[in-house]
Amino acid sequence: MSEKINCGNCGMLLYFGEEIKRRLYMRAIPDESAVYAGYGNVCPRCGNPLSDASVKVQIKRRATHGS
Amino acid sequence: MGHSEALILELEARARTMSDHCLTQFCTFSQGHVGGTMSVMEIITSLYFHHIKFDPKNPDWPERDRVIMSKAHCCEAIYAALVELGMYPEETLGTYYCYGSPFQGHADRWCTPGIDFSGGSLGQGLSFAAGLALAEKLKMKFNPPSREDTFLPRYIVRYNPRFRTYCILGDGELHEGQVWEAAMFANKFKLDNLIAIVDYNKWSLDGPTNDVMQIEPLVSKWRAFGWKVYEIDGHDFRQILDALDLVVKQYGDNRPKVIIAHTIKGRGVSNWEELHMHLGRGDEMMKGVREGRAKYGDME
Amino acid sequence: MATWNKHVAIGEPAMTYKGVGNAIKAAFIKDPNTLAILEDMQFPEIEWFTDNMFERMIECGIAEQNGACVAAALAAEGFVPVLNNFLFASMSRAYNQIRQSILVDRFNVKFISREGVWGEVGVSHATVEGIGSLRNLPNLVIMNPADIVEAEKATEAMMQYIGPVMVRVELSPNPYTIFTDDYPFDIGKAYSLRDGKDATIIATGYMVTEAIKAVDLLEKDGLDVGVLNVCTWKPIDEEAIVAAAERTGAIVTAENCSDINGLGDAVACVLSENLPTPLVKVGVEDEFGQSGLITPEKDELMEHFALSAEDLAVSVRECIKKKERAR
Repeated sequence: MSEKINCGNCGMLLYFGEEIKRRLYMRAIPDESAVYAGYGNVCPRCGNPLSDASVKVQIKRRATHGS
Repeated sequence: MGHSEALILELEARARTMSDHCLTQFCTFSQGHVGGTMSVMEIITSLYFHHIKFDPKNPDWPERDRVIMSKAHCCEAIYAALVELGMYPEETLGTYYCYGSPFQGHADRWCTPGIDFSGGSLGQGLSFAAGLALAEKLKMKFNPPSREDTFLPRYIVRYNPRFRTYCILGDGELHEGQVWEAAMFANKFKLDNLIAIVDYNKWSLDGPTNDVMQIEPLVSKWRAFGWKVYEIDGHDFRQILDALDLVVKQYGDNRPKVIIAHTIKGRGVSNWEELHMHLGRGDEMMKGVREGRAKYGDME
Repeated sequence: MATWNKHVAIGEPAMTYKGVGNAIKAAFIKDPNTLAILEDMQFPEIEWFTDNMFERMIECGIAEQNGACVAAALAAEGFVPVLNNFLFASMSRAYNQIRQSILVDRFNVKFISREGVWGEVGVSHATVEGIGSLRNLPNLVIMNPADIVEAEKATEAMMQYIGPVMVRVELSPNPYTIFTDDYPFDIGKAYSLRDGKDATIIATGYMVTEAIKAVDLLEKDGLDVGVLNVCTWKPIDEEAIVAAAERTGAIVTAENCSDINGLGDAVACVLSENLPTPLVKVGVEDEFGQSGLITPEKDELMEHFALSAEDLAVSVRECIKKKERAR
């Protein structure tokens, strides 16, 4: 299961890797806002302020019994 | 070098409680790396309860001393120390190896605050520790502390390092070639803020370490790689504390240090010292663990 | 002559490695935390670095496993280490170090890795299987730029992104300069050089140049063939691949590395899950590399491994036949 976060304005890739909620990244990346904080909450390319509302999050996973 | 009797007694008591914590962890699933964990107990106790800069309330403090457990299968000992420091409740010990537990089977940097290195694949810890020590040197070089910070006259250029890096290696781990790559690297970059501690318990999974693959002569090997070598009894608190103090005092000599601690595998767990089985499972292991528990219980 | 999309202006051959060097230089000037991790293997623009960035060059010697773990530790302390080596040495040899010390903790380490079918170096250095072996590692972004312009932009994007990234560069002197300076590069986005009607060549790295040559060859037969440049292998641009398959109904993948676990397999997975389409994979077919001469006129290895434009053209015709049979 991989997760991809792109800037909603210019489309720059901000995060690609394991799904944040699933991995026990309790400290390094507890949630998506830690990813934005790494960039100073501003897209380094277009200057768009980053928040849950201003980015595009895509999680790739197959349908399972629990979902 | 003058450590008070009270301190030694306190550390011994701590070590006993920590051993008990470790036994609790082994009981969870009747398995664990008992031998290596019990042999390194006094070293971990000396580091966490006397020697290093570490704030249990702020485990990400940038100036904390780094303890890199390169033999990460023995991270039970560190977990026990973290519980004893009050970072985790004692119940957490019972979740060792469990789904969703902060106490993972092998140390994981992001799951367990207080752990600095995701180990498990042997041989990588000394390289990682050397990298941390180099990072400290580079930070010192790129932004040196101001004169006011140090309270030292300008002509004294020797500062204390912002942090030191301690790396705990197993003896079987020294079979890995990468350890010696890292040894060369540390010498090249003059990492006098790096201290390696070899837990030389003489036993590997397949038999005596030196039969599995000869690592002797160990002292002259490290010396040939440019390290300063100290040999101690790894179960004697006075010797451990003296060696650590001595090593710290030598900062500024541009040489990495290694402490070779002679230890006994599975110390304190009755049938382990005789049987030399260290990766235990099932009844045979639990017998020793129970006896160990009874023994430590008596002491308290 | 074939017509191309807006950001394509095909020019003289130039080594992609130079583009990487320019971008790395710029990144070092901009960010004082970047460090060059050397493994006795000529960093790009090494003279400039020796003159200007001597303090930020960490020479680890020929000890790649140690180098990878040292890079991980430096990244843990907030530095941005850039590792440069042959792919077989930096990635394949230190595979477990990269997995355990870098990717598990998702440290911000950048890799510049040279690989591909090229030159006189022989089987040990001309590896073709390395990039494929990395595709199943979580957290790693993998890129393989096609020309000097894209290499510069990909490296710039790599330094902007926070997380582990690997850029694979090929050392062949023959790739065309393909893109204009205003080419809009994005990690994870494929770029269509030309849309086409009869088939699409999905190419990566140096093979984009061969695909461009193949389009001209096929145009003489009256075939209108598109070219899609997939620079980012992971995360792969599924939308662009499915759109190309929808448009043309026949896909040929082209890569100058092993066709097992490579771009061809990645594209085949995307298509078989979303839109099953006739497909032919062009790549090195389950064999090792070897020495061979590469000059602008003659490329012995491309002939040996059947990766030239003529071979691509054969595969495109075969794929179009498959498509017609399926109807």
